[in-house]
Amino acid sequence: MNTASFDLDALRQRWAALDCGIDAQLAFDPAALRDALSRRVRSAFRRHSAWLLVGLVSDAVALAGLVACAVLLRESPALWLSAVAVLLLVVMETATDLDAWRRLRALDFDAPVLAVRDTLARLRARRLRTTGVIVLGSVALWLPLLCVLMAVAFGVDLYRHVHWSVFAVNIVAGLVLLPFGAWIGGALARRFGGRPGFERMLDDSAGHHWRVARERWETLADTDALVARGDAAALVAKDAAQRQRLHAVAQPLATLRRSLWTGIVVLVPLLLGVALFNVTHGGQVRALVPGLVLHFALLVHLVANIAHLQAVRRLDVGGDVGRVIASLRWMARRREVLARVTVVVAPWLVLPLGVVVGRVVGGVDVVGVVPVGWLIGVVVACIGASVVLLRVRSERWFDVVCCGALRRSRVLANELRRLPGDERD
Amino acid sequence: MHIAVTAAPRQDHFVALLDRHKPILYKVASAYCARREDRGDLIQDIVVELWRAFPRFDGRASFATFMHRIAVNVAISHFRGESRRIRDALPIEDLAFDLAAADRVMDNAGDDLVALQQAIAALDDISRALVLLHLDGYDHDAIGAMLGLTPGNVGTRLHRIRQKLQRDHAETRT
Repeated sequence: MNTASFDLDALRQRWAALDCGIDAQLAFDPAALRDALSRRVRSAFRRHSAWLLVGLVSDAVALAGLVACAVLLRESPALWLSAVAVLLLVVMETATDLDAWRRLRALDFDAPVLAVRDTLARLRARRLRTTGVIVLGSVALWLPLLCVLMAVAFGVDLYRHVHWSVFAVNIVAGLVLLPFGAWIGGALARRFGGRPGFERMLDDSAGHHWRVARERWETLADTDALVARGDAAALVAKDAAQRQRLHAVAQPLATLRRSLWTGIVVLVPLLLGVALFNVTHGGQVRALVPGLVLHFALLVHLVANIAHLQAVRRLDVGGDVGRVIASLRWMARRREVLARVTVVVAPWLVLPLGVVVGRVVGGVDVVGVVPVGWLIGVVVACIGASVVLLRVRSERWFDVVCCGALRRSRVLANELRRLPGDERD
Repeated sequence: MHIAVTAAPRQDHFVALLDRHKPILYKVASAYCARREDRGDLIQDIVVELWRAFPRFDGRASFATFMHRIAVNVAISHFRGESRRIRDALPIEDLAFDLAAADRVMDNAGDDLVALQQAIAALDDISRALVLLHLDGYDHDAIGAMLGLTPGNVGTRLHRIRQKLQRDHAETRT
């Protein structure tokens, strides 16, 4: 090397002069470049569109099947109506899938970000409406669908063999749930709309592949904005911090998920067992009422577990630590409230449990054989026990009701708090 | 300068501007990637990000400035996972860049420029960007705006970089 020193300012002119020589070596095919630019990023939604196509095919199969069932069961008004009711839901699902597939194929991803986001938001809104109607409608229609399938597959008309009250309770519950669910959805959207956690929950509800495709597109759009603003240095530092954080909390996060799954695994067979009891004891009020009470209690806990698990899956552990800790505490507080209520009303669940177990194990109608005086005594004892349990503050009891999810949420939150200060936003 | 909204004229305009300022792509890629294949990858990423950001180019600054800002920021964030997905849509072969010939131009530029290039490659990501932009004639304010740093911070860092380059250069001569 023949320079005595490195003078950047002195080398500037010669550095700039390199451009001519370099420029001569770099040539590209503008047409090929234009084609490539037009093709890019469609892959983010190409996979979702492929899954939509698969969905459309399965919708078509379901439609054809239900039409065939309706034709086969036309002699039985109840079965025919059941098939038509479910058919209407499938028609709605098919129309939504078809609309989404058509619009995504026509979507220009080179359009301004806001225009693309608006189209995607409208597609998601329609998907969520359909999903909501199907989920709420399934409460009333799962039993009619079962009747249709049993009739077509085995020639068994469940409407003749199962007491009418079983169907009546399901349909009434479904009809009540529809407006109630719509009201809850509206209230949640008004309260939490726009918040990242809520938006991610909506993306989840719109389907796994939708969520993946949209997340990918949003990430690319956000990266563009970040790079264009010149914040790449901050981006790199944030990436490194996020990776470290994820590594630090991986184990407590996995443990929390495991306890939530444990809750689900414990509750599902209990729920199915009680549901079977209710179906087989239709029309027997003394059995059905306790069965429904237990069913409701188990269902509430199952829904809470699933909602908690979904919320934990959606946690942006790599993001703002304060927000993640706040989310964990928010979820844990709601589970704790439910656990407290469960502990307080637990004495009232003993009698229904006794009735169900008595019938299943011993074939005994507990309410029928126990003297009225004893029943009154049980009620009084339940009132007293509930009053005593109101004063219970034992976090251990609440944690047991939640299968350990409360304690593990606290452990995870503590791990996040313990992270070095420069990793916390 | 107003950018056409429809796709075809916008692409023509973008391609024409890109063609005029190609050396920026090579210089940034050379500073950040020792291997030629990696340089090709980085150039692809930069071109795609430039295309995506192009609607935001309003002509108030020169296209060279716009391109520099995007290029160094993409280079700094090059090792994020997202870049690999982007690259599949834009094969480097379509760009027909003869990187080997461009490397020869650099190699024949003189020992001091070769040494400078090697010295730049030994710096951290942000420092490389600072030196490249300084060599391309940008002042502290412009560099700070491109990288999200204050002008004072830019000045301090450049001063330290100069000292480091001098030290390293002196060590290799002894």
